[in-house]
Amino acid sequence: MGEIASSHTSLFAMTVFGGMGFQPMRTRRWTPQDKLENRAMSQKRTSKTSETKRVNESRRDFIKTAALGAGFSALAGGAATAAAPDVPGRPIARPKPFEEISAAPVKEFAFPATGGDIFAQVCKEEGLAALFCCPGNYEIVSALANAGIPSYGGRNEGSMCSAADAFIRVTGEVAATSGTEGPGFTNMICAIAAANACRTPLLVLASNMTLRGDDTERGIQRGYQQPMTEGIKKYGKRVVTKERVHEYAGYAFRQLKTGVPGPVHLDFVSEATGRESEIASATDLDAYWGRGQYRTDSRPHPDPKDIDRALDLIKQAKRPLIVASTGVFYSKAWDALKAFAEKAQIPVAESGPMRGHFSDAHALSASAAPNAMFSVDLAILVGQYCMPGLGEYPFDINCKYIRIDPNAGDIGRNIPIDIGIVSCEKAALEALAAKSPAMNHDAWIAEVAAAREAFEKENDEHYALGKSYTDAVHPAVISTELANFLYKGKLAPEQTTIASGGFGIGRYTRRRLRAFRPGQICNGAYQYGSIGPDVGYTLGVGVAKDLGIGAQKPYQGGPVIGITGDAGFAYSAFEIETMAKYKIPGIVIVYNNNAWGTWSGYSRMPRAGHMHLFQENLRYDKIAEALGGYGEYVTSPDGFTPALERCWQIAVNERKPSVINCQAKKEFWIQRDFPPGMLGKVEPGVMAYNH
Amino acid sequence: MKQQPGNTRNDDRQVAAVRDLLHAYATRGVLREFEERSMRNSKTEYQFTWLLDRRFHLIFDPGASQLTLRDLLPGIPTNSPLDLAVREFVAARTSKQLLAHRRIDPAKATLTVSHSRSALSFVFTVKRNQYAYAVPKLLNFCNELFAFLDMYHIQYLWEHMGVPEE
Repeated sequence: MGEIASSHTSLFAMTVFGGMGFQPMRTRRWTPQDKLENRAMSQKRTSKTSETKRVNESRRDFIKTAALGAGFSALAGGAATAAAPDVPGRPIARPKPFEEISAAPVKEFAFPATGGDIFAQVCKEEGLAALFCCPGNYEIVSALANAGIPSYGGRNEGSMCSAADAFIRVTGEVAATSGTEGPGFTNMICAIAAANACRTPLLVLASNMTLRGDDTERGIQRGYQQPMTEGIKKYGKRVVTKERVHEYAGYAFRQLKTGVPGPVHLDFVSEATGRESEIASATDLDAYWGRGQYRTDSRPHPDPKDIDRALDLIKQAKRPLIVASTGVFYSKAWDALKAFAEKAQIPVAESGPMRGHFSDAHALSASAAPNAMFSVDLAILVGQYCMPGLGEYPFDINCKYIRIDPNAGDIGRNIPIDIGIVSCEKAALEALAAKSPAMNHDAWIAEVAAAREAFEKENDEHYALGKSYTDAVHPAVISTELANFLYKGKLAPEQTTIASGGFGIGRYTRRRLRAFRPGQICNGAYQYGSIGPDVGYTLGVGVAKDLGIGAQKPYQGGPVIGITGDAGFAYSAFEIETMAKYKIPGIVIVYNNNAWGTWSGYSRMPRAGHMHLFQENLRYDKIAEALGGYGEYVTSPDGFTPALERCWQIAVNERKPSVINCQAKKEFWIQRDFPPGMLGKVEPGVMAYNH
Repeated sequence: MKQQPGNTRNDDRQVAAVRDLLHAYATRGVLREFEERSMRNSKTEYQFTWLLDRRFHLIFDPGASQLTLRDLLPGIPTNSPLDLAVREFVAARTSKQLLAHRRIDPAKATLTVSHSRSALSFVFTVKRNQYAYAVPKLLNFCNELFAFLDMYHIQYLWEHMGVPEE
């Protein structure tokens, strides 16, 4: 132990914290061109149309004046701006501590240390990218924040857990979420389950009272946590021994960073992490060995014979398709994927809880070519952790399957395989790219291109129909004009990161949203299909973009877009306040059709239909205003783009979140009255959210 | 399989051909819970679980060289918008605009729709015993039909096919 302890004392000692502190006010990396474009957009703004209600005339004027007068750089640089005083003398304002976070010193680790500090130090060394939490689990969250890990406190543990999930899904880096024992932890259950379905390497942390108080019902909030996450985690442990905190932190990161990822749930009793858990020196810890010794970065590589067999099968195929999924993103295999696809001339369709690991702009992209999926005679499933069953991907009935996955135990599940390759996705794609001969699938690629064109034409037809409904905002208008704004206007198409959610609205926006680089879209409802985490997802995506972590690094800063419905908004709306206080400029588009997405099926049931309805014309925009954000209420198709432009301007200039409350109507889902009505999907590709 | 009166050796060969083709898909796991049942007039019914975990009923009439997906789509009134949409979809399957691997070649098989008790059945009439062509074509047609419904008529799947709304 002496030698090991000695080496790890130095490992800890060499940790340098300087300059790694939480910097929520970091200056954006906007170019002068961005600045000009945003100014041009500002000048282009016209007064609202008569159909678009002016939410707060005096505030708008104030904002406009402030934006033009104060200048872009000062505002974008994070100068504190109090919101307009809704009540004289009582402005919504960020308290001083928010301005002081980045200047606060980072605590340097040293023994003696509590279990909480030791755990935080491992997280720090492992590069834990962020913490999303609500108060509770104080010893751990304080230690993490004090260690310099960017930390965010929100309004609901479930939403903050969703924020962490989305953060990971667009960065590829591990983040943590935390809640207090009992209620705080159980608030997170739905979000943990969603993260598990997405195979998100999410570190779930929660306090759990004291060991000596077990089963006494003394005080409040007692409960056994690990059984509650049974089936929705990769690994879990109740940590009760202070000498083993470091060891179990190692367990956690071993699971988070190797193989097929998934949530890891640790709950801590106070004896292990609190004041009484102080450890005098490294030699008092069990299993105190460092990152290079408690886990490995080694990855399984493919058997060359399997690669040869796969290439033989590919050569026989007329219409092969690579389905690039979750594992491609987490293994950062996008360059290898592109190299292999281009060399073998194989189209690629994406699936998974995030999008962008194969650009939709690439000539080989089949993600927006649903009509081509029926022709596929060989599917190469790469990193498809959440497996469809036969028939869920509508490939040709004689389609053969190659599956590439790091987990041999999963290959052959759901779909019988012709060839299974146990490998890290990146290693397998590199091997395939290296050994593949140049191939020619010109006819097939032309078929994919024709399918892409037909899909866009159909989307355009939906838009024309949507524009013809003038008394409310149709989802085809939102999806098309949002896409035009993001990809065909002044913005660089790859710049904006999206939290794509919603139920009915999502069926339209997914058809139009495109991803041009890794992590550009967080596919909100993926697999678990929970309604409501979307504002939390927007927060997580916004923080990822703000910090420029992982896959977001080249695109750091700037507004992000969130999409949700009126039903979903209610679950996590208060995180608008979290975005406002941390200056995360998320623009949340709320599709407000006065109903749950399920309404149409029950509309003819007088005693049941009401359960699917809300009051009509609710003002979600005003909720945003009341929480320190900005709100727009759009009631006609012509109002959407101008409202989006105003929100964008405010997001850029003030770093303020906003809500665009798009007033639709529930009857838009009735196809016979308002075609095209509720839409479905074909997977894999842009519409996919089941797998 | 129990032999029925009137079976000819040619019928037997056709039944065996269709059975072998379907059985290959069952063996591969594409079609599940595969069953075969003899019917009157030399007909054979194949049942299997497939898309949307539904039970499919495929009737083979060797005398008429017909494969019928019986009552595949329930709850569609005659001349309803969905009835018309499905018929339009079916008609388009033989369009020369479709690529050869997607098209149903009228020289090898024809596809018609029949309506009974608000349920649509689909009849594949196979020409010159080209079952090796027709059986996968029929299954691929089903695949595309269900995807068509999923894409454009999801509420029908919710209401009549047991697809969960979430």
